[in-house]
Amino acid sequence: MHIIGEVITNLFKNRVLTLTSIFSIILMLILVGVFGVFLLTLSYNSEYMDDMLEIRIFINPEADDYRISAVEDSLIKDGRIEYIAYISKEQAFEDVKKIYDKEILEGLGPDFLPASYTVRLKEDVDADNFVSFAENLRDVYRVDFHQRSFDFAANLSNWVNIVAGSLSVLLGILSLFLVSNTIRLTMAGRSDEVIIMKFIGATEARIKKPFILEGVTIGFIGALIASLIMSFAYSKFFDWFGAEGSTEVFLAGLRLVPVRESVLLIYLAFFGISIVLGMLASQMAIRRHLKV
Amino acid sequence: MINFSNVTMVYRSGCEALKNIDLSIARGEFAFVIGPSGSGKSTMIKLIMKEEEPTGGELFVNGQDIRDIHRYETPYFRRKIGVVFQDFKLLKNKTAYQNVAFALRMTNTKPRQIRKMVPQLLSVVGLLDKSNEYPAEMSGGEQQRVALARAIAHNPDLLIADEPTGNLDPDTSLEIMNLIYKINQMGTTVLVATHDKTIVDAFRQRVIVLHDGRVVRDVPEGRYGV
Repeated sequence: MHIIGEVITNLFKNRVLTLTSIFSIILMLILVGVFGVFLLTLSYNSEYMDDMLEIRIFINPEADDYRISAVEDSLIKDGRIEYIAYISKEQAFEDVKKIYDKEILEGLGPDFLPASYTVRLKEDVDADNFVSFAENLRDVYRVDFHQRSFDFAANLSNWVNIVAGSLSVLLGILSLFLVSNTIRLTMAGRSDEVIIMKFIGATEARIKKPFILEGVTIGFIGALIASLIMSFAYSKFFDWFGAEGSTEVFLAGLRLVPVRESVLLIYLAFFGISIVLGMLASQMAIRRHLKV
Repeated sequence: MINFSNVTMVYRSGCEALKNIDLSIARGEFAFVIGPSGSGKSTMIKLIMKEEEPTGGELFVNGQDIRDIHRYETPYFRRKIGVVFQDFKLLKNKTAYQNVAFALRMTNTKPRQIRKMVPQLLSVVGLLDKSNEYPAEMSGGEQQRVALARAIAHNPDLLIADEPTGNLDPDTSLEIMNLIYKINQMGTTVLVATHDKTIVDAFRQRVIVLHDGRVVRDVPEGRYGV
């Protein structure tokens, strides 16, 4: 118990540097958090992102079965397709019924919907090229392809990962030095105590313990505050893009990770990272400035 | 208790602090080490405390070759040596009680044991009534008593006093030396490094004179000058 009191007193004595250290850790962790959220979102969406690579080709509703199968023939003959599935008007209508209220659909039959093909291309096929080929087929009135939003999402997350990743590494290094400096100052303030400890026969471990604990405490406080900020910010973010209370929220074609699922992992990482950082910083200060 | 044989100490700076010292201090003995500044007194204490290692010769303290004591054993070795300094080295933000308790706490003494021992130690040095005073509220003599209480907390085999009366007036000096003598009478070997002629002459104990890193005189029941 004594030692915890010691640690808090010493950190309070150097509160300006202590706060700066904590602040820098918070900043670093939040960047790590952003980085983490993107990684989690990507892995959460990996299955769904695969679906995005499918191309949906809608057939003119006026086309009869013969003309529809002509479209299919052209698509298959083209040779770039790995997989093709036909969705009839009836099937499309069944799908729509699952989503919309019966009242809205009252009086409507399958005829108002187009039949369509879902197509997946072989690897290394230029999708844009294929899309314009399909668009120009007779009786094709629309081609849906999400490649662009997929690319956008992938690109965005790539950039976020690079920027957040390198910034958090930089901030990590900065935090390391700041925490180490804080510990060095508390050490300087207690050089007498260290000398006394030495000649009364305190072990090296006992002499170092309060300094290590100081580093760990700074890290712990930083992680705690960063977790609170992160949890608040992410749930706000989640609510902002989705209806209140909704569990499925989309942004730029990506499904956001539900608040609880994502963030627990990130908090664990926060505490892990910052406590290890605090210990490393203390070790650094001890190695440089404490002669036991 | 302490055995220097042909001990030489040359610092990295090239300064030759001790030259071929041969010296033996028996268990339970009381000895003054005197000599001008720079004569090697402090180096001698540093070697005994294993703060430094001799560059030549052999030094045994409490039956152990100082060079054989591993870094991790050093704290346990030091617990058998009590030490007081000219500047007392008390923690300013701790009371007399807390200063003594600190030494015990640092060596993992149980809290119950500490609560029992600290008043006993403070009463040995006659300061029980000042338990709750801070160093700034105490006289120099009282501070040195607290330091003595702390030094004997681990019931050491050896007590080293480095200029214990350097900051004290003559009367207080004598009181402190009487206390140190009392500790010696309880069986602890005592080594006092000092400049204080009055106390050396008053106590008529063994006097070891250092000059320029050598023992130039070693007299049982000696005096300062002769």
